[in-house]
Amino acid sequence: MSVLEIEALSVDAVDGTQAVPLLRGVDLTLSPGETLGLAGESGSGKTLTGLAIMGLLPQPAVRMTQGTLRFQGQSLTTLSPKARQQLRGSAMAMIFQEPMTALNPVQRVGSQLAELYQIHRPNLSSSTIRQELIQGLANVGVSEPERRLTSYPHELSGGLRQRMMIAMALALKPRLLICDEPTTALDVTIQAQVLDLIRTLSREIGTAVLFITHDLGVLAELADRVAVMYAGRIVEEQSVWDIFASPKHPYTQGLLRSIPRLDQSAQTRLAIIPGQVPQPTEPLSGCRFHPRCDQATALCRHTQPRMIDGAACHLFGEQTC
Amino acid sequence: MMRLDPITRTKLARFRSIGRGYWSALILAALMGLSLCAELLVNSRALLVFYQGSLYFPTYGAVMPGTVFGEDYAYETDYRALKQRFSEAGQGDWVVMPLIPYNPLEINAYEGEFAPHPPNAAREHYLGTDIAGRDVAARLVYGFRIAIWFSVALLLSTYVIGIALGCWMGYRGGWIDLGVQRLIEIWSNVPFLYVIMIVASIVTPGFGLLVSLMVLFGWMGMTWYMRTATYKEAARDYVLAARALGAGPWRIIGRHILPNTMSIIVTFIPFSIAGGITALTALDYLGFGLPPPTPSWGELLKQGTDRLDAPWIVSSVVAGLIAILVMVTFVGEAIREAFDPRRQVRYA
Repeated sequence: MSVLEIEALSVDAVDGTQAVPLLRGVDLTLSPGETLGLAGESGSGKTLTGLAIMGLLPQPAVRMTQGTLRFQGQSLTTLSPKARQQLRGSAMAMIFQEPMTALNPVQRVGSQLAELYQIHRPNLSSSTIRQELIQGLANVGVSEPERRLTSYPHELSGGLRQRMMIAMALALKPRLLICDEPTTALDVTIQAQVLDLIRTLSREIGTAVLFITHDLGVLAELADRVAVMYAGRIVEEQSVWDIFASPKHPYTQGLLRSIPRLDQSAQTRLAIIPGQVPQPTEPLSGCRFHPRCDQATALCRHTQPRMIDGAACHLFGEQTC
Repeated sequence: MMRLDPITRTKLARFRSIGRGYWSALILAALMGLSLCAELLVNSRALLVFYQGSLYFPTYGAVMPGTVFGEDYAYETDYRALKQRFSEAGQGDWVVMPLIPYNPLEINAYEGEFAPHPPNAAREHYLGTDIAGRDVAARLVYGFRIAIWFSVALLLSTYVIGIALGCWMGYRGGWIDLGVQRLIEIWSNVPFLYVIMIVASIVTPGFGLLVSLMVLFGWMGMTWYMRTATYKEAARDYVLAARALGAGPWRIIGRHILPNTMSIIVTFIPFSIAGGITALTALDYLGFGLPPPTPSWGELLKQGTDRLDAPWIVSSVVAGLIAILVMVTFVGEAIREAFDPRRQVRYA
């Protein structure tokens, strides 16, 4: 049974009477132990997808309008807010992009980590919690965990704080871990360590990981499958091998072309995708990518492509209607 | 284990380095502490009586009639007279009186003189008496005790309501916030003084009723500050992270938002205390406060301004009022200075 099934997820931003579509028809599935990479530019809806799964959309301004979310076979959309709150932190966890601000500045790290146990395991004694925390910090490679517990966030480096966040997210062995660009704020050496950590831990615990990033290099390293998002839709979803070897959607091809390569001479200009990501308010018929696509046809301009064989593009597969 | 975080410690150190604020805080704390045992310092009952080989402690406890000490009356012993009698008799009995041997309610009459009596060290009326013949110093001390603890009670109740509601408004936002804001605006426009006057004309307001009335019309101020502070904190990443952990709204408000808004709350405290003292004094001055003969600064001020020919009344109470308010303001200033976030920013 898959850990997570998302079907036709739509999210709108409601501004007065006007509804701005932010996500449209997002379908995703995640099996236990699998790592799914969610790639795309800023504003393509990656983080929003993660927040929608967690039930942390900034309501009432942004809300889910359509679709079903099933977590371990159980529908999340019909669950009470209280029940979803209980799932958060224990069965599903999320790591945020900014480790510098994700910890409360006026609380000791230890008491923030302990909060997780106080919420979800109220029967544990504080000495048991302390032992669990020390073990958890040691697992994510924090040296001197006892001492770190009494530190304040500002006394820790970014890498250490992100490890704290990861330790917190993994402490109760969640079935689903959503990582929202957890390495963006870190330097490259720490980034490699953190990625390693997430991979080994997901292998050991069997956690399904939804890894949100705009860094395709990270996904090549980490993901089993990759879904590419563009302007609130998933445009391509393939295994990590196929997506790098034979990208189907012109957007994915463009993304891969614009990665700097070691075998190019330093004078070569980087390939770019012309144009801008359309604003969500922009009315655009057909494929959202057609204004920037050099292979767009008349069909692309007025008909929305469906996802077939891993790509939502009229240039691939049998697109009818 | 109580370990303060380093930022709080630097704030406290900075507060300590602001001399007048720090000393004012110490003096005020001492005065508040001493006011709790005012009975030992200012009282018509003796601290200690040694009579026929045994010791008596009349300060607290039941009334000791004069017959206990061999007097010929059954009402409460006049310890000042007893002291005089013992020292004249010279039989080894003695009486230790408090610093100011008068209680704030007793009316002192002296033959051939009319109240108010001017200050007289020999009679131990160090600040004279008021127009009823009650010792001004005693009334000042007990009036201070009532005023300061009235302020503290007012502060605690208004802050609990204001902070809880403000946080809730700020955290929920949207229609709840808008609606409660409008209700508060309407409620703020109820004229407080008229309500007090109406209530005072029906019942005599006691300490509890007066505090409740003032809380009822005074809790709104804090909601505005807490509401905005909560808005600001709730948008920060650690709140989202706490929600991702499964923390509920009250846990987030209590454990994450409130500690981060502490400096705002602490900064307001001294000014609220000063406001509370002034408000009670003003109400008593107007005659809508605590009923006579409760010792009160407002009532003394009223007497003093009516009887400028007895300048010791007005000068004592004005001096006392100024001293306390200035000290409270110094504390407030020092806290504001010490907690000013702009002083902690280090520009690299």
